[in-house]
Amino acid sequence: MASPTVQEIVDSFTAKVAEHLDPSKLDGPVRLDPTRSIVVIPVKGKGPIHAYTEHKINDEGVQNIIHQISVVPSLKGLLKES
Amino acid sequence: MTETATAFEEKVKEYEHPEMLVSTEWVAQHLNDSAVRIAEADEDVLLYEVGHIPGAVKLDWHTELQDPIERDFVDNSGFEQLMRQKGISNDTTVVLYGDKNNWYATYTLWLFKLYGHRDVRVMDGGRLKWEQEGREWTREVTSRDAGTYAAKERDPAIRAFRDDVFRQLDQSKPLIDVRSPAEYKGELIHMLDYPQEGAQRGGHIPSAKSIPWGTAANPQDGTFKPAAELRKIYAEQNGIGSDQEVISYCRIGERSSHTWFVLTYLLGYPRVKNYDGSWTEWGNLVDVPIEK
Repeated sequence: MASPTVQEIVDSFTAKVAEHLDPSKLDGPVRLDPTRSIVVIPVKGKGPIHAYTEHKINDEGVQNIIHQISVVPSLKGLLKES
Repeated sequence: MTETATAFEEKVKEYEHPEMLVSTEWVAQHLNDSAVRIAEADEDVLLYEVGHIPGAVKLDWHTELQDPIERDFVDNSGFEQLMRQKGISNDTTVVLYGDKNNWYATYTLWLFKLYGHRDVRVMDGGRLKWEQEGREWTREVTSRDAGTYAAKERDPAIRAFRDDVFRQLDQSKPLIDVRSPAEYKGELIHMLDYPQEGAQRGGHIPSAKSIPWGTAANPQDGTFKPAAELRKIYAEQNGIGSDQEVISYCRIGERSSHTWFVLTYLLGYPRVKNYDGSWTEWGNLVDVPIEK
């Protein structure tokens, strides 16, 4: 199997982050910045919020992002009920 | 290929330090040269893993070249350790290349010079030119024998701190703001489409000339523009000559390293410093002047 391209890695990562989020609370796609350091999440009514990848573009990095969101009271409801 | 190599030779003859650049062809001919280490440094840290020049090592700006706690680069012993890991010794010829006009490659070269590495060069055109010429990429990571490395003390002649910028202002010496015009004007605090964070205020340091870093590169292939064009940009159009002490800055010091490289090595300006504190420092300082 061919190894993934950069775009495929980025798309996979942002999709995994988005899977944990309530789509009704977003007004656009989740993005990864060009340095791959920051995930930009467009939250309805709040504008884009930033979460840090801690330089892990993998499943551990996804969990880091979700944890960062979970500890912010004002973002309660952005995460899907598990 | 021959014609391209000839055009490169003709171009670099006009630079003050032609030895600082190598062509893609030169790199292709030295892939197995044990005295040469090819190293990739990118803004996009995912690129190396999906394909790099055979035998090249990766230098990661996020995880390897910065101090993990303080806002600074790896210290002397950290740099030595990193060089050994990458199979680089003091007498190794290091050739850097990367994405986006060698932006982070020149940043890395600046760090190598900060620690006094003798022979470090840039592959003109970087990843883009290598790709355009249909040259080989690999995903294979080559293991290297550990190098022996002793870093020198940091060279204060090429790095500006904020006190140097204050002195520059007091003495009416030139500053070059290499960011985009929108950042210079204070309309953005980072490039377009990047997260707008990192500074409390937008604008530029008073008296700084706006000369975006990318004006020194050919957008078609990422190579440096010829010396005559570079002189026109810096000296003729902006009045910044080789007899002046110059400080370049951007947001964190990476784009301004590109300009530092151009002025220092391609045009031969002897007194150029890179202010790596840059706008993320100045735009957060209390009680400093800002212009928009």
